[in-house]
Amino acid sequence: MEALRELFRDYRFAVGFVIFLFLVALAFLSFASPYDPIRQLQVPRDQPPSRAHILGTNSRGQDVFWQATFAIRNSLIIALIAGLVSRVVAILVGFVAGYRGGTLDRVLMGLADGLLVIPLFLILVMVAMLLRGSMTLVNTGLLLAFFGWAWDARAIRSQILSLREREFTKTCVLSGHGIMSLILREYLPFTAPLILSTLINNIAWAISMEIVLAILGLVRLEIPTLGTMLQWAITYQAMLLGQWWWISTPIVLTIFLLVALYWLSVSISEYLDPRMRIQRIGAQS
Amino acid sequence: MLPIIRTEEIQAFYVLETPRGKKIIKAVNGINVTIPETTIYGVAGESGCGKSTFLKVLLGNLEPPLRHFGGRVLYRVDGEYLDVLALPGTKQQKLRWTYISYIPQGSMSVFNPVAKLRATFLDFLKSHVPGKMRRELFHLAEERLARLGLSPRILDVYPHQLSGGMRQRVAIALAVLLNPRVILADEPTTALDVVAQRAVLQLLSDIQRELRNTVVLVTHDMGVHATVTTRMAIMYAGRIVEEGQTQDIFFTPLHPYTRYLIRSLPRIGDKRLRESAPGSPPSLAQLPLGCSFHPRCPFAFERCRQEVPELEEVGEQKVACFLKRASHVTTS
Amino acid sequence: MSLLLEVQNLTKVFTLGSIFSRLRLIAVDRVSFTIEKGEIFTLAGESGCGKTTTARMILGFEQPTLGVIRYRGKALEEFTDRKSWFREVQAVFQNPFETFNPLRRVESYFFGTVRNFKLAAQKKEAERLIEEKLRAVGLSLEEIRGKYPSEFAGGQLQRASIARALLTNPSLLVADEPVSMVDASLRMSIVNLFRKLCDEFGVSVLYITHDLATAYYVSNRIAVMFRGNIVEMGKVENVLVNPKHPYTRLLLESIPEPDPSKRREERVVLFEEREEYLRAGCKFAGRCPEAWELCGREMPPEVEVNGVFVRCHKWVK
Repeated sequence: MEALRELFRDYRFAVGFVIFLFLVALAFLSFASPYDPIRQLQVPRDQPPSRAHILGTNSRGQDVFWQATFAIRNSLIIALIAGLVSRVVAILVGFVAGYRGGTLDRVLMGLADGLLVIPLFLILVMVAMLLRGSMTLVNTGLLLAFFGWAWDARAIRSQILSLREREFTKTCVLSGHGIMSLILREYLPFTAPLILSTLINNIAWAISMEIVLAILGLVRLEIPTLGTMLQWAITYQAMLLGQWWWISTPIVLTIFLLVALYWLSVSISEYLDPRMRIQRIGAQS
Repeated sequence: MLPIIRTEEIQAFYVLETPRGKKIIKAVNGINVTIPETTIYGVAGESGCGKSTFLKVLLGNLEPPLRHFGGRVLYRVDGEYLDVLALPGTKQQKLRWTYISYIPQGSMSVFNPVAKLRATFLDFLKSHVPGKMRRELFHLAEERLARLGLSPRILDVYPHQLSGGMRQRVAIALAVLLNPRVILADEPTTALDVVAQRAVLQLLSDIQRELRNTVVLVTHDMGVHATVTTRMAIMYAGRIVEEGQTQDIFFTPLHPYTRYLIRSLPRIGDKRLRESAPGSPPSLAQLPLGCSFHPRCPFAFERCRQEVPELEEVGEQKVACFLKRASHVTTS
Repeated sequence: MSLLLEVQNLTKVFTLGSIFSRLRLIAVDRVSFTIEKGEIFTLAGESGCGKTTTARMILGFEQPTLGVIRYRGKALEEFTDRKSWFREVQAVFQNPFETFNPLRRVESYFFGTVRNFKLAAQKKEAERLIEEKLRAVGLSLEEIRGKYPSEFAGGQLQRASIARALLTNPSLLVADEPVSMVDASLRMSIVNLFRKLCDEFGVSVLYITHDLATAYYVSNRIAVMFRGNIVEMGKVENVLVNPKHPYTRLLLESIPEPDPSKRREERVVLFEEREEYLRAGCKFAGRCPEAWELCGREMPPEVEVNGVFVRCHKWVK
């Protein structure tokens, strides 16, 4: 596509895309894992990287490399659930509050503000403690989604508020379009960059939050995620014992993932920015 | 009388980097003009013809993406001609506000948004004028504000608290604060109501008469030109196509574009059919070869498509047109 | 009946401010006028006089506080949904580049209108209808196909905006400052277009402007507004050539005329504009060179003088 080619000219997008693709490939590789992700003591423990085990083994008797593939996969699943669900809620709330205004707007924004003001960390920890047993991937994702929509709903709402005042809203109404049509045709092109970049940011945030929860021991620790891998490595004192392959794997992977996501977010939202798009239209003629 | 401003083939273009390469907008494309002293000199033209850019060039304010591509702008200061664009920054600064003053289009940019207006006025005075004169000039400013229909209380508010029209009037009072020798005004009356417009034009005329200075007034409103200017230039696609006394431009326009312009102006009391020029002005990034007006000109011939006409004298006026001899007729 | 639009006692009050300091701004104050079939009626005045608010109420974008708007005898509220109103009344706005979404192709509005108002059954028919309207304004479908608003010149885009408004075959076109952003050399061709639409197609136009010269040129009747009131209304030849209300006179005197031989020497003195909206009596009393004490107290009634309506105590016999 024309758009992709343009995007690839931005080095940030190119590098970010490649890294992200690589990590996603690793995640898919997990389906080919010869080892069960949850069971312990499958291989000799504490082995440094060798031909049999590319990234060595950990103190729980698991192959680090294959654990990592599962870790990425599961972290991404949690983050995607969190990101997508919170996007949907943010869009619904933001559009409705922005366009309708009035009491509905005030109620919805009151809700959003409430969630923004609550000390997120404490609540998250409390809830996670209560649900510890049932903190599956999906539940973790949903919990994070619950706290992730408020900020973006506000951002979307303010954009809608300003778009509502622009003259083309009137033209659209005069052309006989209803509200749904108006939002999808006129406003979405403007809000798309916001939504896409907040999606990516949200995913990055979710990944980081998952790590935090894992380190605090608030998720199901047998399920390998970037957070739980790190948590186990810390618990088993991997650093002190010189098992650099075990502790650095989740750290390095997380860093790469977050940087790639950041670059993707920045380059895409710059590309989709209405002002840039208008400039591109002008340059075509 | 010696001219106070003289430009020699001045060229200034905007260079834009787009995703598809460089775009060069020839806003000021070789202008030769001599502006006499003690006049109100008008520069007329439509949006996108380059007149606002021309004014910025006269001020010497060339900031990227606007770049100087050739020519000079000379001001007569203390008997000699100085090339404004070649002056070092500090000297340019000294000239500004005391010698040359600028009223931009859109008044918000003149004011510090976080300072009350009084502070901005006093600030100006402090940086340009010795202590004794400050009081006097400040009182003069208050007086001028009153003449523009603004009470002195206006100085105690922030710029965003005023309406656009009021801000514009304060901007004018600020620009003339130090009684400059040259006032460059870019569409000073566009945002104003008709009555306020009249007051502003009145003030500019009064100041010009009192100080015996020069005002270069850029506006697309031909009525404003007719009312206050004594000499004017018509700009089209980055060049001056006609120049002369305001009376002559209105009563005997020579250039085909000027003729279309003058003939299309509606007047109260006259319901006869009025026509505009066909087509639309060219984009300054893609100028046609030869005379920029030829695609719309009913009199265009071969030479017009290939050569760019220079401003030449025809009687008291100057025209840039190959037809100049044949078109020396009066309008109906 | 030849009466197309009837506006009676139309009033709009805006309340601004917080709980502690409420300000009532009467943007439109008891405005009444009529528009006939096949006429161009101008609502003129300076910024803040209420002309745009009046237009918004007529289009249904703003709810009147008081008053009635009737179209061919039927009140605005009786039009069950907006679409049926927009079949009859359409609008053209000041800035063509804001009228269209810069991220959408201009033709999408045309096809959208056709589809929403069910003006054509298939694509070919739709294209024919659109082409017809575009030709009426001097454009063609070829010219606009595939283009975004930024690829047009201002004059062209404004014509496209007018063409879109004509798709539903409205009887009334509300044009809010339609040429003030168009270059002087192209302005008259668009103004002539309105004349043509009225004369040849019988479309009435509510022309809103602050430019009295084009108003004179194009309209049949005119109403001059000041701070929410209509101060003078009548045939444009009468109102603008023999103005009766002091404000109309001031306006006309202040317009810079494109005629260097007519340089005015009388001076104007500006007064402060605040609180004019809140005045109890005639809103112009603060500035009127001929004001009496009565003018500050009481709102003058509308009086008819030689076929022209004036709202001024001086003209009350």
